[in-house]
Parts: sequence; C-alpha cells; structure tokens
Amino acid sequence: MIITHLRAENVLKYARLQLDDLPRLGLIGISGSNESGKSTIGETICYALFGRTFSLDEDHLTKIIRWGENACQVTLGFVVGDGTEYEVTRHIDKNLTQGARLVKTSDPDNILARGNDTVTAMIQQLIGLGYPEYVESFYLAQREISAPHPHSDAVKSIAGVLPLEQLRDEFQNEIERHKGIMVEADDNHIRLQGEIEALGVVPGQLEEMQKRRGALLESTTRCQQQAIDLGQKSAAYLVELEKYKQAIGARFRSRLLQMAFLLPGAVAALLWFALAYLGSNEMVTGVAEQLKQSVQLGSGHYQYLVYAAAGLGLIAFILWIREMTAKYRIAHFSVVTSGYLEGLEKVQQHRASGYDLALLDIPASAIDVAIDDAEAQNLRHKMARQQAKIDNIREASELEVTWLNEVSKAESELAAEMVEQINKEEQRTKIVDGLRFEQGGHEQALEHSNHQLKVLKTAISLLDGATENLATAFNREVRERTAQLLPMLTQGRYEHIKLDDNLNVEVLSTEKGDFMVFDEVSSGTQRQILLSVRLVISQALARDCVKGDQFLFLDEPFAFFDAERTQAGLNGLTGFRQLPQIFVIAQEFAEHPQQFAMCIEIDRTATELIA
Amino acid sequence: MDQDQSEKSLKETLATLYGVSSEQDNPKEINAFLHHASQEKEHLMSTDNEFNVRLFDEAVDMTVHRLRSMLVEDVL
Repeated sequence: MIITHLRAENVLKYARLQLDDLPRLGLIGISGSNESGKSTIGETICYALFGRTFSLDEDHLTKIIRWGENACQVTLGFVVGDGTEYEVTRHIDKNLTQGARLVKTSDPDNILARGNDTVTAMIQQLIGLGYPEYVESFYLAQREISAPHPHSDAVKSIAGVLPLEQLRDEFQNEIERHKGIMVEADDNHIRLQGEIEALGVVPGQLEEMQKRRGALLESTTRCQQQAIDLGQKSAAYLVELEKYKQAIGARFRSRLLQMAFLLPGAVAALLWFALAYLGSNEMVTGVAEQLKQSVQLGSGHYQYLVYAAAGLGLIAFILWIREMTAKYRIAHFSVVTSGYLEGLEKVQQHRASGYDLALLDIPASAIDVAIDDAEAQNLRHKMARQQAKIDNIREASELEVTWLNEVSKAESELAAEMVEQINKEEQRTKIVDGLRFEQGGHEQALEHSNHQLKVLKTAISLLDGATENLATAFNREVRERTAQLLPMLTQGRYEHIKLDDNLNVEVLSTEKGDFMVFDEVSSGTQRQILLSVRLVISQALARDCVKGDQFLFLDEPFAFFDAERTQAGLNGLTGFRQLPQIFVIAQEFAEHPQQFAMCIEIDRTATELIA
Repeated sequence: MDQDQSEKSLKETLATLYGVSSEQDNPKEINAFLHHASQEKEHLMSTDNEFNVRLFDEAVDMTVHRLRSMLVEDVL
C-alpha cells in the first residue's frame, strides 16, 4: 500500500494535521527539532491502519487525544496493489468510545466496513499484513534499532515458517489427544476384561451344554423307543412261544397219524391191484379166498378196496398239511425269537456301553435296577436253544424295560433342568458378547489412534524438515541481500555478514579481512548493519505478503550516524523494488534536500501541520 | 538455466509423487513442504527397507490438506 494523504484533528501534539498529495515514489523527509511532533505522524498512520500505535495499545489509547481535548479523529488515504484508493477514518473520545469506517475514495458514501475490529480486519486483508508484521518490518519506530527477533511471528510469517509451526503445534496437540484416547481406551478395555472375567463364562460352554441337552433328549427318545420295542417283542415272543409248543405237539401227532393212515391205505391199494390184475396167481387166489371167508369180500366187492385206499390217502394228506402248518409256526417262532434276542442284545449292549450313565454323569448304581449281565447272557443262550423258562424270560425283559425307562426318565429330568441353566448361560453369554463388542470398539479406537500417532509423527518430522529448509533459505536470502545493501550503507567497509538460525550476526570487515563478532563493531556500524537487515526483511515481506507497492516508515534511522553515514544511508534507501515510498524522519536534512521527493519541516511550537 | 531445470524437476517430482503441480499456484509453504516430502520419500525408499509408503503418503496428504485449509481457504 502507498499512502496518499493523512488528515487528523487533536492527535497527540497536533490540533490539526494535514498532509495531502504525498508523493508515491521517493523519499519523504520529515525533519524538526526534538519534540516537534515528527514521530506523531508515524503514530497517526499506525493508529489509522490498526487502531493502535506503537507506544499505545488498545487499553491506553485515550492518551492519543491531544491534551485538553475530548476526542480526536484521523483519516488516512491509501492505494493498494490493484490501484484502488481507500480512505479509513477512526475517532476516539475520552470515554474510550471509538468508531471507524472504511470507504473507497471514489465512492465515499458506500461504507465498506464499520467498527474498529471490522475495519482493522478488512485493512489487514487489503494490505496483506497485520500490526505485528507491520512493526517488525515497514515501521521503524523511534527507538534503538534492534535485530529482528527470529522467533517473532512476523519474521516467521515472512520466512513462511509460521503456518508450518502452527500446524506442527496443532499436530502435537492432536498427538496428545490421541494419547489420551489410547489411555482411556486401554483403561476401558481392561475394565471390560475384568467384567467379562467376573462373569466367568467359559468359551464354548454354552454350546457344550446345548449339545449335551440335545444328546439327552435324543437318548431319552432312543431309550423310550427301545423300551417299547423290547416290550412288544417280549410280548410277541411269549405269545409265539405258546404257539410254538403247540406246533411241536401237532407236528408229532400229524406225522404219527400220517403213518397210521398211509400204511393201510397202501395195503388196500396193493390188494386191489393184485386181485384185479393178478387173479390167476396162486398166492393171490389164496388171499382172495381168505378175504372172502374172513370179511366176506367177494370179487364183486373189490372196488371197496380202492375206496378205502383213497379215503386213507386223503386223511394222510390232510395230516401232512397240518404238519406243514406246524412247521411254519415253528419256523416263524424262530424268526420271532431271533428278533427278540436281537432286541434284547441291543438293549444290553446299549446299557453295557455306559453312554447314558456318562451322559447323566452318574454311576450305574444310581439306577435302581439290578441286572446281572452274565445271567442275562446265559438266558439269551437258553432262549436261542428254546430252553429258557417263560418266567425268566419275562423277568429279564421287564428288568431291561425298567432300566430303559429309569434312564429315560433321568435323562428327561436332567434335560428339563438344563433348560434353565442354558437360559442363564445364554443371558451371561449375551452380556459377555455385548462387553466384547464394546471392547472391540475400544480396540478399534486404540488401533485408529495408534495409526494416527504414526501419521502425525511422520507429518511433524516432515514439517520440521520443511521448516528448517525454509528458515535456511530465508536466512540465506537475508544474508545475500544484506550483503548487497551493506556496502552501500558502509561505504564498502563491510561487505558480507553471516546469519545463524537465530539471526545472530557476524560481519566481514574488508579492512581487517576477517569476520567480526557483532559486538566488536562500533554502535554506528551495528545500526547500519541492523538497518540493512530490516530493510531486506521489509523487502521480503513486501514481495511475499503485500499486494503491490508498499510504503516504509523509518523514524530516525540515522539517529547516531555522522553526516557521511547519513548520506550513505540515504543513498542506500533509494531503489528498492516494491518499496517506492519511504518516510524518513531526522533532526534535519538541510544538507541533502535534493534526495527527497518531499520535505516536511516541523516547527516545535506549531500545533498545526499542513503540507 | 540450472534454476529452470531445478524447478522443472521439482514440478515433475511433485506431479509424480502427489499428483500436484506447483503450477497450481500453491502457497510457497505448501510447495516447500511438498518439495521436502518428495526428497525425503525418495531417500527413504532407497535406504529404508521397512519404509511404509502408505503411511508416509497419508501424512503428506493430511498435512497438505490442512496447510491448504490454513493458507488458501481461510483467505478465500
């Protein structure tokens, strides 16, 4: 920005201050004796731009009002990079009531911003810098020239380091936040683990219980089925056993009777055949004679022999059918016996396996049914040979069925009891699942924060590297540009300087041919060097942060310079790119009027300054 | 001439590694950071067998995003 005009009323020394048509290019010299009000101009410009001065902050701002007056007002005109001319006006009274407005000079009725803070913020946006950068660069107040502080935000901002450091601080805060999250997540994880362990849920126990109950129900059904099956087979066996015994008798009788009928039938048939076809035979004739005399069976009655043979044969055939029926019953009994024995053996094997007792987790004695396995086996053998007694068979069957029913009942009861246990276990497992889910959330948070920690640490490391590079580059630039400016200010006596990261200075003396520690050079030379550094930093700021040309305000930069050095200093101030307008305050410039675009001489007794 | 080649090399490196170009008118702070990051990445890729590229890129992306928010979007 370039200042075009400055008008003020009742500011510090002046009842009226009016500087119009200020030259936009060249040195503007402001001279006058001590306490003539030279520095007031710089303070007034600073107040107009930022709502405070170098020596008066916001809390003491009423001191800017001229002694004996109640209020003051300042108006500053300036041009920014795009050529637009603005005018800012501020006023303040003794009660610290303040006002401010910003307008375009070409359109004064259209207020762009109103109020102290709003106007200050908008000006900062327009000119590209705030108060801290301004006083560290473009405004050299009346004070001892000091080296710019390397750790000031203004210098960091110029070097480009400030945003990197600010982001580094943000990342560092985020690291602390993630560490906090990790500690909290870890604590919560441990707490939840304690709650889980307190519930005492054994992994897989619920599934084991459900599996056991399923097995109990299955075994119950199997036992019941076997009991029914064995009972039915036993009853069938006993029924068939009676029939078997009857069939044995019937078969014997049938065979006996068959012989009894079949033999006479055959004799009758043979007699008939002999008498009918062998009648000439002497022995046959004798038999015929005997038949005639004993049973009066003459030749006319031989056909009765055929009838008798046929009748006897028929009876024998019927008896054979009966025998066959008996044989079928006997064979059927054998099948029934096999089935029964098979069922019995299956039950006994089942019992002997101990599966149910193991499932119930009880000893064999817990089932109140006494079965002698050896006796049961012996009985089975007897049954296979049809030698077993019915009572023994019935008793053995009843024992097995009773055992099956007892086991089935115990299994059923245990399965019923387990329902409640399983429900409780399911509830506990559900609680544990919920806690584990919560734990999972904390584990994820832990993992996420751990990852973020790594990312943030990497980012910080890179920011540190980039910061170092920028600082090094900035120092190099300051060093090189100061080296260009320094010979002009020191008439070639000093040409090079060294700047470390803290902007500490060593200077190369051309006369001595060696670098000298800053404290070894004279105070006048120190001020020349520091003025060079400040001018270079101002130039860097103008180039990087300011849009367009920038004014520079130097309040007594040559305070301790002799005439020769002052001349050299004035020569060195001209020719800065982007710093075309330079206000320079001094006691007097009588010897150098030709170097100024404008000279303002101030009378110490005057209360008005109009130029 | 050397400076031109150096700038060209930087642009190519940034475009290759992070898909950005200094022609995008990035603030100098972002360009300085990306330049350092690209050099660091090349160095680590050639010297560190356990170098985690994904984590490194994530850190760079996050930082550039935050710097852009701080330097560009705030101004806008």
